[in-house]
Amino acid sequence: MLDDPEPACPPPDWACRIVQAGTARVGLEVYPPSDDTFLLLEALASDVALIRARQPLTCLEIGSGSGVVSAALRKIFDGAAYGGSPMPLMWAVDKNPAAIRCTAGLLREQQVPRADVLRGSLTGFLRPNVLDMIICNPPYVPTDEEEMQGCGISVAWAGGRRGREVIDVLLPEVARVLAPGGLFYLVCIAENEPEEIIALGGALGLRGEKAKQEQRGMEELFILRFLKD
Amino acid sequence: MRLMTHNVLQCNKKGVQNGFPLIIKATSMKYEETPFDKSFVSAMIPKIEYHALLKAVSEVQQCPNIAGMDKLGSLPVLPLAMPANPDEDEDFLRRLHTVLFDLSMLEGELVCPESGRVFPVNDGIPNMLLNDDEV
Repeated sequence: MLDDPEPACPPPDWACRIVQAGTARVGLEVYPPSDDTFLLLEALASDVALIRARQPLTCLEIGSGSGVVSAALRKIFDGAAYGGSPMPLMWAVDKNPAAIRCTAGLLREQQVPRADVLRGSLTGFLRPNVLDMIICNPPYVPTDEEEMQGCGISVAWAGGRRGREVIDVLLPEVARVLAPGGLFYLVCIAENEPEEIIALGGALGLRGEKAKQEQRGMEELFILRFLKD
Repeated sequence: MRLMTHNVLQCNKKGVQNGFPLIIKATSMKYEETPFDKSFVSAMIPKIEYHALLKAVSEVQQCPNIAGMDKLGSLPVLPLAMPANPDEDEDFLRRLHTVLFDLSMLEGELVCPESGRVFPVNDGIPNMLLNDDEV
């Protein structure tokens, strides 16, 4: 967490430059790229064949923060190593105005094509079934209610009771805006009870499984992958 | 914010039944050409609410300042109904591409058609965040 700003593992090689560029922008008001960010990037890179086979046209990152994940997606889609495929229309949303500035600046600097940035909370402002892919590294740290308030940096990690308060609201929202056949990637930790999150997703038509599970620093991190039938 | 993005936005303020499409009141826009990808635009068609797009284009025509318009000449004219076989109509797909991806709103407001709730757009970024008493 933030008491320990040095990540336990380095970012994956292919994303190093984007991570550096993103880290340089964040300042004190935005959550910097960290172990959870890097594991999410690794999960997306491992899934590159699966992601590209589905040919997503639209992708949303919820809580984009520094913008590193959204910007790195460009490499997932048209990195020479993967043979190239069209970059989907990329949307990035965050509550924190400082995060929005970071994300917008990084996407512009990294020349990510077809990307738009919005300020907002979750996905209530979107029509149903419009997304083919959703990525979210939500606030998952168990905290009290107070830390969840406002739009500052604490909303980047404060997840309330069991760290689940945002995740539990997010799941039905994702089920509403994800198109059939769409993919959803979610970061969480052991304290959030990933098995229970997978079961909740299942009841909403989101078939989930663990794409990654690793101890990084103080956290046992999970990347869950859901597929909407 | 591209017009494609506008095409998926709705007002979700508490009590609003039909917050789509948002009315565009743009004071500043820009045209910026991006590479035309025929299969990408064509695949996007099922996601588009075509009538909302036509309405958006008519609202954009009211915008006093569209940077880069000298390169485009005039706004592309879209047919009142989607062509029967849009995938085979390259002229239509090119116009659709321009409207969806190359026209962006920079400054102005998006207004909920039902409640009148205003969502400001600044520096190309719409603020869709609701207040605590609106959710």
